[in-house]
Amino acid sequence: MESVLESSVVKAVIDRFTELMADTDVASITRQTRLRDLGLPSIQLVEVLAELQDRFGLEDRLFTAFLSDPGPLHERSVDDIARLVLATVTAHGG
Amino acid sequence: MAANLAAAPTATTSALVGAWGRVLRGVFGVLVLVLAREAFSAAGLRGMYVLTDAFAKGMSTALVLGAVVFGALAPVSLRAIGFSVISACAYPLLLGRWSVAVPLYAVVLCALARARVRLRFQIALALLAWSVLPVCRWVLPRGSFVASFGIFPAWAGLAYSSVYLLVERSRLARKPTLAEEIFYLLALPRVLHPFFQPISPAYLRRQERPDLPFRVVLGGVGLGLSAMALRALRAWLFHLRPSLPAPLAIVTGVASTYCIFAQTIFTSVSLFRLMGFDIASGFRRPFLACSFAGFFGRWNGYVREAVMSLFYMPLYMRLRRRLSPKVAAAAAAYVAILLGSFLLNQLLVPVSTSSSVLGALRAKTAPLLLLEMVVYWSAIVLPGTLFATKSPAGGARWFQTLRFLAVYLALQSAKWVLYHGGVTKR
Repeated sequence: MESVLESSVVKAVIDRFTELMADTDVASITRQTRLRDLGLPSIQLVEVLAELQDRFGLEDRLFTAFLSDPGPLHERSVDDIARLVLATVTAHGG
Repeated sequence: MAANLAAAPTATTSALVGAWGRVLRGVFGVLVLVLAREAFSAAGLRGMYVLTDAFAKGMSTALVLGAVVFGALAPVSLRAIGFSVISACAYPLLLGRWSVAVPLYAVVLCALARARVRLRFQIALALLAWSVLPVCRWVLPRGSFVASFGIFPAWAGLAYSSVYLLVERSRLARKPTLAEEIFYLLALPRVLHPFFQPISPAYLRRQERPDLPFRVVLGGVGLGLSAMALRALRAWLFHLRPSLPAPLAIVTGVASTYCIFAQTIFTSVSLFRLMGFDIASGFRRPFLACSFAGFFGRWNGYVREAVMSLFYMPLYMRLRRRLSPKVAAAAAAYVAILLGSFLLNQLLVPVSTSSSVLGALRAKTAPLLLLEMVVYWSAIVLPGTLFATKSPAGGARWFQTLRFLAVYLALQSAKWVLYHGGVTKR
């Protein structure tokens, strides 16, 4: 059962990527979509992280959490990003 | 009790079957590649390894087989130690007495990583320790390194890896063990086929598959065979190129460069996969990219990851507090590419592997080459930062790829005219 917070985080992540890919031929974005399949440059993926960080009032915590869990950014899925945001929000007491 | 007694031999049998299954899968992978290497050699083409004399070929095959069999049979907790011991033996056997410097450096670096010193000092001291060997080569008489010439490519790859190891260690909650770090620095592929793309130590650990799935072995074999084919293709293009008209010479020039870079990392990753590390190939169909940024990431995936993780994200985190997001992103990207792609990779590798340090330094910092770099970096950075639009990737994917390829070939043609059209010669 998804909590309200989890639903809102997942929705925020999917909405942002959907908005970025609006004029492309990429099919609908789901939790399972891999970031590499979106074809976005790394700089823009990091920008999305920054926007999510600001939106949930996390200061630099999302970046710090991301860097302490190393692994190729493009190999992660939308769900991985949502989980990272959720874990950071929860740890921050959100 | 009776059930337990009955289950014990079953568990032992299944463990034995599992272990020998891993051995068979690993040995199968190595044998396919050795046979292919011999077939390529028989056809007059260089095979998989840089080491080509009979002793080195035999020894490298024995070492890979030894590592694969050991990795298949050893308990997971002993894999890193065993692999490190095999590599430590491989260095002096294959690369001569000076290569003892590599295990020594690994020990110094691990001690440094555990010292209670600030990260920036750790990095500075690590690079200082790393620079001892290139300086020795520079100041000692020319003949000093005759028997250890192969050490320099292996050594070159260590500089970036050291920075990666220190930075990642400082970030991780669960610190890697000494054996894991020594294995990362000495890993057998570094001796057999040195690579220069920096693979993240944490990523390597995370992708370890001690059960050696057949999928990983096949992936390793496929990549090894691709590397051999790319070597052969490169040799063919090299002979073909002088007789070609300009447009074809430009295309074959691009293809040759791809062959050189891709086969190096493919061979190393192929060896990692046969040892049970399911890591990415490092090159992901770069000519299907939609943009220069995509091309950069697909061309040398590990460098892109290192640039992003070690330099871009920490810098961007700091700069976005003081500058607008777009300016912060552009500034961080330029600095990150300069440090992570140019200095630690494109400049350091040729300078530390060339017999003429100053010659390599001059060649890699020639004004025209630097201008070419700045144009390339701007094509990577600016569309995603200062010139970014709300929806950056407009149009169908195939159209974007064609558009990118047209611009890429136009730039390559301009470069060809500059270098071969009388302005200057490389």
